[in-house]
Amino acid sequence: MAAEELPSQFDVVILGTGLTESVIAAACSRVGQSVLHLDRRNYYAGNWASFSFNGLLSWIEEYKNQQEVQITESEQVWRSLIDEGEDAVPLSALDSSVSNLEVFCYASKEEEKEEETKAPLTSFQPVNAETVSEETKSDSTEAQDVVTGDDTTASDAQTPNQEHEVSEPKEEQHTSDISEPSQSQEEKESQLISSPADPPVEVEKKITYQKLVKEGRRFNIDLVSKLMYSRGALVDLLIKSNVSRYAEFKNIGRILTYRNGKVEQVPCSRADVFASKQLSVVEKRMLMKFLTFCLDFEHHPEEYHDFTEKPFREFLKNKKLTENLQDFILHSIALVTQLTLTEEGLRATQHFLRCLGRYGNTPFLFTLYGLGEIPQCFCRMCAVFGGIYCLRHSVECLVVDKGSNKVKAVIDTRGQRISCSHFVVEDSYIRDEQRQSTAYRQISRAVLITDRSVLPSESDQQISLVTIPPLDSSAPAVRMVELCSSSMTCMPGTYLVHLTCSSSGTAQEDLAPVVSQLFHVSTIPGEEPSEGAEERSKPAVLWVMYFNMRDTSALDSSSYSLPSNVHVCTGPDSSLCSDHSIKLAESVFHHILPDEEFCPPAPNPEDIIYDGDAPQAEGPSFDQSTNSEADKSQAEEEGASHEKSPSTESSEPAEMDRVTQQAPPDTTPPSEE
Amino acid sequence: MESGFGVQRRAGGGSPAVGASQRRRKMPPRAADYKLQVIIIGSRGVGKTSLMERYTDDTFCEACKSTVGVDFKIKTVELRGKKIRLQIWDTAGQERFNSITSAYYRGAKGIVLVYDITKQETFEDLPKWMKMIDKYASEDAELLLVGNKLDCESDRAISRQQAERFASRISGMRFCEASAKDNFNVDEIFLKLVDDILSKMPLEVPSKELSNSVLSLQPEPEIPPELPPPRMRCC
Repeated sequence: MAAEELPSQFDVVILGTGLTESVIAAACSRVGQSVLHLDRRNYYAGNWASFSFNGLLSWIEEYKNQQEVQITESEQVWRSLIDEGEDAVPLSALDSSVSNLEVFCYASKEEEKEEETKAPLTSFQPVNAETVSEETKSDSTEAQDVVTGDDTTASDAQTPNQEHEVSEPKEEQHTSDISEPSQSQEEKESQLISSPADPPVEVEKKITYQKLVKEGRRFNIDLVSKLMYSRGALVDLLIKSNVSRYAEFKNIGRILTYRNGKVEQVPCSRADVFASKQLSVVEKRMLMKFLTFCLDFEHHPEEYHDFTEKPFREFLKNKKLTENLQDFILHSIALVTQLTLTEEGLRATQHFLRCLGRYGNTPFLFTLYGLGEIPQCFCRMCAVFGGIYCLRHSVECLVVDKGSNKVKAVIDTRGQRISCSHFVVEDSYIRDEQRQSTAYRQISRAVLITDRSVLPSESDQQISLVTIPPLDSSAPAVRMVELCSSSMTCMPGTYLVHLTCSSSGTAQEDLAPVVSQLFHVSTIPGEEPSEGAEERSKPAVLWVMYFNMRDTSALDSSSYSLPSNVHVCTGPDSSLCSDHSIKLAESVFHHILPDEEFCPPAPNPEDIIYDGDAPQAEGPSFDQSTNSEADKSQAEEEGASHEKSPSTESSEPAEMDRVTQQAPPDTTPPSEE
Repeated sequence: MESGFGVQRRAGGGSPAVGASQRRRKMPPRAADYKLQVIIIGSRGVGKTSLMERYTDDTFCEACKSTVGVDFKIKTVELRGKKIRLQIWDTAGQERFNSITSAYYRGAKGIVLVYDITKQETFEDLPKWMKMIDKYASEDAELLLVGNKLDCESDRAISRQQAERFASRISGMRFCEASAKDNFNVDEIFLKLVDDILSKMPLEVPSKELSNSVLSLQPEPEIPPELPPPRMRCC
């Protein structure tokens, strides 16, 4: 297909499809602005993206190649499009927001052992062979591609030799090539015929690297690890804007902490506190009293006004809470740092408590298929209201009117000049020349594929948040999210584990010690610890990737020297939730369109009459009476502004919630893939 | 000839005049036994939106070239004694520059892959769409290949045999030709697809099946919200 030209005029041009940019895109489009939304990558969400395992391997390759690429400027192309009275401000082609990327593979590099001899792909069921080989080919060759015509012909012409395509990061400790993935007759048969009711075949078998690659499409690995507070800015926005209907969600089942060499459950609800075996009776009373105070702390300023300028940590000490409790509250409930001041700590604690019970036993939600879905959902909303989407497409330079010092157009990577009134751009596209400062914070990240949960329980299908308090008080706490396969982020039989902390050094320096504490990291790939060894009780790491990501969240417009109608979106911050990005999106929106509403719900069709619906049934919250009242009024408010469904329809999700609360730890469903 | 021709295409729900009397209810409808999500993909201009709107609203707008303002449409059907709430998603125009999100493919139980029988390149694009399906769609999704614009037989560029051959290479993919304009085979397409989906599903699975307590954040409306009329940028 011939490359189609873009329209040459838009109200808003947005570059980068991360969360902030995507929310802005949806908000602008929603109120009638014409939006062009671009991304230089061939996938959505930029640094917020999630990848299949194979897609991630490609991303790693791209990262390595980028380190070596020289920037060649194709200035001639666009110089001719700049008029008298206009200046050109070039943008950056290279993305340097990720650094210190290291990969280690501990899974066995052996070929998979099958009972029958391996049959070559083509000899089995001719009808399916092409599909299967298409699948494995596409798995191993593509990044998270949106395929163009060129790509299609290239891959069709490929030979079956997979060795080159399955890219292996050079940092791996073992250099053996991955042999061509193949399937035994039996395995293929079971893949094609088995109904969803069949349990996964290889539950106890050692998971090889080859298996990870073969099942690569079952992984959805996020670059950013965050959760959503059930009453946080993101969830509220998703509901308000109706974007929530584009995604599905799961509760975080439990909150854990690492204390005295063990992984333990953190009590957060009233029931948890009373049932906890880790707390003494005195501690339980203390904790209950303190949390109850936190629920409406602002009505008792006398309790904390002496500590408003002091760290929350000190306030907790002053309240005579035990060390244990101080740790719990600071690291696992308020989720703040040692330096956070008292009022912020109290607000964070209160937020946690108020979020309990809205959808589940913990305050947190996660998106099915990973966090990378969320920016895509907002992009869809933008497209539905007319936004135009172009991946693999960037902006070479801005055209600035000398007189007004405002951007009037952009020149894209195809040399087309496109007028716009506003330009929204993600930080990593900005060149150093346009920055006032290049000092950044960093986020240290680790992504692990493991074979077992850090805290096995009745159900192996739980998402857990684990906070690991720092060993010394100056280091940051490490936050860990352990995802089960039913979150659609990893293959059955594995867990996908994300670690995050604010950087002190490289990600590996910051996080490898924690990894060694909680997991078994073998010295020889595929080696299992001997029977009886202490290591045996820990989950094994099959594969790990460390990287640092720039944290630009502290930057604001004064950090750049750019025209006033250029709005820079900073990248993800190191906190657990996405509030910062949502608030920034709202702020940019109001700069562009001060008189418009931010992501209003879609209007009701006039000719539809519904009965009022009952508020959703709420699960056990920390303080039952206060919370359920607040919930009721909120539900009424939501009912008024949203289209309501007939009472039978509205009872469905409520029932879903109710059953969710009542259900014991999730059991593996028969329909799980 | 038919009343469907030349009707101004409306974004979102169907024509309110027609819909109003149907939707005004004293009794709430019986809840659906199943909620199924179906997506439509294919190259620009093949008639994805037209097929959907012909099926859900029995409308067709020849002049409307590009999809703006259509999110999804809902149609409730009875099949095999079950009431099925079929939610049909549209691409929102993101295929125009090959930029459909991977998220679009998630959760779809059925995928309608459309090409235009009068345009060779839309057929040649099919492997590209299959790649996306292989990567992002559920392995259990039912596939249906549709050659649209059968009303333009005289301009045909792709033979039935060609398309049948393509479909036969893909396990479980059905094929048929249709015309959204003439309303030929449109109902059959969707009903067959739903039927195929149902035949694979376990018999007594309620629509409220928890499947690991996957949540949606708010109740789904019975009818999707009325979106503002599309911007007239395309025509």
